[in-house]
Amino acid sequence: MTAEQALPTAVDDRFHHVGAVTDFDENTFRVYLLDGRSVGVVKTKAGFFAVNNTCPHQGAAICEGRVGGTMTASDPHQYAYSEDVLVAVCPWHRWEWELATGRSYGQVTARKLLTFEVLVQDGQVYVAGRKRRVHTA
Amino acid sequence: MNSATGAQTIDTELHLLVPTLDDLLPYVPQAWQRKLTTSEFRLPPTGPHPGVEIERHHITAGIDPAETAADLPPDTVAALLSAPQPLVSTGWLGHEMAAIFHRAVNDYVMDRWLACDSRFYLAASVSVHDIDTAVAEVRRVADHPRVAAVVTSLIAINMGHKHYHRLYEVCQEKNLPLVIHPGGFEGSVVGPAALAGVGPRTPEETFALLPQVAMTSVSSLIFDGVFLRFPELTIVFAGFGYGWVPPVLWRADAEWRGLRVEVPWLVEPPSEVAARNIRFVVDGACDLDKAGAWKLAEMLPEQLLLYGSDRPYITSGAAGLAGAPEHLRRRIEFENAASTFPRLRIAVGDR
Repeated sequence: MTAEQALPTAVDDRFHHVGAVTDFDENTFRVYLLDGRSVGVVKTKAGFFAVNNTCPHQGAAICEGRVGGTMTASDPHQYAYSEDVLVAVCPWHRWEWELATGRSYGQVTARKLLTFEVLVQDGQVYVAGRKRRVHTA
Repeated sequence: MNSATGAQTIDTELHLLVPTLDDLLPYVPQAWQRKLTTSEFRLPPTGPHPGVEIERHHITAGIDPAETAADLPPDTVAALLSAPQPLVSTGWLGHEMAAIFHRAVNDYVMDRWLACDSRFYLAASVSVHDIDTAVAEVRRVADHPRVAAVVTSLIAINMGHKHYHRLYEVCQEKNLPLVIHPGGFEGSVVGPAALAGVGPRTPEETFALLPQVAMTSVSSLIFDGVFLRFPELTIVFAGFGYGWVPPVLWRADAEWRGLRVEVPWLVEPPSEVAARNIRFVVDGACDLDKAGAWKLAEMLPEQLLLYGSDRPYITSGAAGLAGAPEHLRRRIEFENAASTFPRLRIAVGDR
């Protein structure tokens, strides 16, 4: 769970109940229509994340892509795979977006994928329907 | 100085020709002298440029250092000499003979040309069949103050391959940019760099398609991470034109965005790597009079292009730059070369 998610945030009227923790398969998006927006919610070993189901590149349904780790910077031809960073990979052009921040992994673009706050309470999963607030320590 | 503009010009692609084998023999070891003179060896008459056969047509341009110096445009403050004849050796089977030939030509130029005019600098020629020998040749000549670069033509091994690493290492260590120039036999069946598709059937096709070699090389240098290993290395492509560079870099950037995961060591767009470590010579063969040529140039970072006359094969001199936007022209005719070739910069600065 990221530091941002660990902040004690109460479920309020911004949040939508999207299901029980047990409804989710790891690294597989479930897609909901929240406040008129298609939002993907995914359970990972680092916790739950929710993202806008539209790739900032050319609008693909990003939740149809893969979720997982990625190749990190390495010496030439010496691959280094890491799951310390979890990304959603666009099914169209393979642009990768960090689930925790929405940033483009590898900084191939300055654009960001919208992310939304997720809360897990009593085995139930809640997603804020508006743009996620960014908490700073 | 150019009287009209006050500009100074650095010519990064001035070719010279060794007129006869007899001129070269004093710079060839004795046993090899015998081998060359008793075998079917012939001095390559034209270098990689078609249509200029010096022995057959008695062409004198590029043969005599004093005449060449006298013919330099008055605004030329430095000229980087490269000898095309050794570059054909990428098509030879005898790698040792190629190395002997390159070495002899380097000594010939240092002896006959560099001593003739202080504006002359040498791009020392090496054969890349045998990298150990190429490295040894660079080390042998690198301390000459007017050896300002290394030049080679390519064999059918991608420039990103480790085959070249020790050559890159010594070029970086000695602060000598590595110039890549066509060898003239690209696409032929033995040795030289391949051309795409089935391959050309006439010399004209070969020369029309030569940019393919540079495209592949630029791509390989960047995606294989050569400049991560050798961050201070500069590669200069001469004789391949530049009009193809913007779309190739656009394409490279686009593919990198999607396929970064395949080359995770590449942590910045390919075009930014090129802007830092690769340069392209604008010469008379680039159709600079064509409408749109300078529009293409303006799509590139300003530091990427260098002026080269390609004399004696092209004789228009820097006139082709007349259509360039003023800011770009200054960069191309002087500033970019001065910052690319450290030894030229020092010498010109002292002038």
